[in-house]
Amino acid sequence: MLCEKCRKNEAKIHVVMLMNGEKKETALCEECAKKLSNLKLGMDFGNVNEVEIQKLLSIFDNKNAKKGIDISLDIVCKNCGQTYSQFRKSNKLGCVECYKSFSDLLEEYIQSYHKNIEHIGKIPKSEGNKLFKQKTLIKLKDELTYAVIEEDYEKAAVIRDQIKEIESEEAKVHEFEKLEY
Amino acid sequence: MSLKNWNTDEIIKEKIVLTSKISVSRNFKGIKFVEKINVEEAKAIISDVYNILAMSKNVNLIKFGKCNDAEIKEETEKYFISDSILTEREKVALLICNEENFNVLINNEDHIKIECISDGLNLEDSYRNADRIDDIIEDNKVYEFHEKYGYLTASPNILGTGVKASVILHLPAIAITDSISSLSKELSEQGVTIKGIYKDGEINHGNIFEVSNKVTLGINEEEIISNLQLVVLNIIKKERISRGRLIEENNIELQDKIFRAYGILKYARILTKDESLDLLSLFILGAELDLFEIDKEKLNNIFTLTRDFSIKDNFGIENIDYQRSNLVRNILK
Repeated sequence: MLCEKCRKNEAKIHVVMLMNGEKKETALCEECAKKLSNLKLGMDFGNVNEVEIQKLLSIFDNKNAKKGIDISLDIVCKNCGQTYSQFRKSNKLGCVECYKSFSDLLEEYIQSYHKNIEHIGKIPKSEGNKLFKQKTLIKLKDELTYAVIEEDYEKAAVIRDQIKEIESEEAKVHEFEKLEY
Repeated sequence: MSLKNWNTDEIIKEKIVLTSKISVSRNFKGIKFVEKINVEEAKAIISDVYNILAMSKNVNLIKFGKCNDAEIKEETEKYFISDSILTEREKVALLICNEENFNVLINNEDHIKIECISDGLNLEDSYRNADRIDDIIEDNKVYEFHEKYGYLTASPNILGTGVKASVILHLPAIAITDSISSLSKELSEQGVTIKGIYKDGEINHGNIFEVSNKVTLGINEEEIISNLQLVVLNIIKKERISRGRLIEENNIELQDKIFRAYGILKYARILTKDESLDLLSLFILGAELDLFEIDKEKLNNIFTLTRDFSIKDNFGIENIDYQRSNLVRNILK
């Protein structure tokens, strides 16, 4: 689905606006949604200045709205229906998709709460194997590029075989997963 | 970690650290978080977790949907669970394994919260135990895990490791000298929170506090534990300094407080749970300052023994406050 504002990028964020009790929805790409970040989501817009209201309305393409209208704006998770303002009240998300739906705003919150946003603790065994392979592939590909630059073709051939081996293992796993479904 | 086995005789003599707890929160792949699932989905999670652990462990399951308010309050107090489960009790269950000292709270905030409680400052053993249970469940059911954010949880505050380490401390001198709020400020700068565990509105009873890590992401489990242990050792030092200062500067006032508490505990025939917490805290402080000749072993677990659930278990549900005063008198003899 394309962003309803720019009609270029894929829409990832679902925004709901309540205007004088009437609900309006739109789906935006991350870039267009970022323009909303300066506005306070989940808050009533009754008291904000005209410029901000116009900015907001331009996103919803509603030119007939008058000044002083009662507006509130929210992001909603398409998967579970949880809104960003509900999250701010209860501090609880509804599902894992909420992490994507509220992406930028949530990341800001996580950063301010935890200081560091990269997990460095325990990894589930299954994920551990997958992550290990991904990291090895990246490392081998770097080494391959370096060997080619160095014109060490013998070494490059060995690395190429190692990469092929890991990739074919991965392909087999994907095949197996497809068969399971 | 270098702080292992610090639980020396000296610390036992001054029982500042009461218990340590590790909790590990997890959610299962492909299932919405607890608030957004229905009772049927919740029951399926309960039976899955029960079946996985019952294969190799001797476990009991309490389904809160079948309990009344009083029963739930009792269990939540016994296992230090938030009583928020009262609202959606149909979804919630508690799986208990007394033999191996762990319990699993199912469908309260997250799909599961594995909890291990142990005496004294023993976070490492508790974590090892919790980690083992976590592995058993993981072998049978897939968790929600994100490459960058780690284990995904309903509240982003516990994201990443999903691990909360907490230590319950008896801090009468810090509390008497009104220093809890300044301690709290200092701890928050170190990513640690402190809160009273027996609260009646804004009032803390028994001078018993829980300190726990605030940050769970961008830090590994070992660091969470060793950081908290260091913080706890520091708090113990502060408590000792405060005790010394109280004796030096307010000796008579302090003795008066302690002996008044002793008098009431010794002669009262009705003791409410909050009153007994406050008085026992002062009495234990007196005993640890050698104002009384009493076998300190007898005071172990006295806070737990005098809670309502424990009185009910041992003496029945009639006249709890009277039973409590009898029990205290017997211990103090």
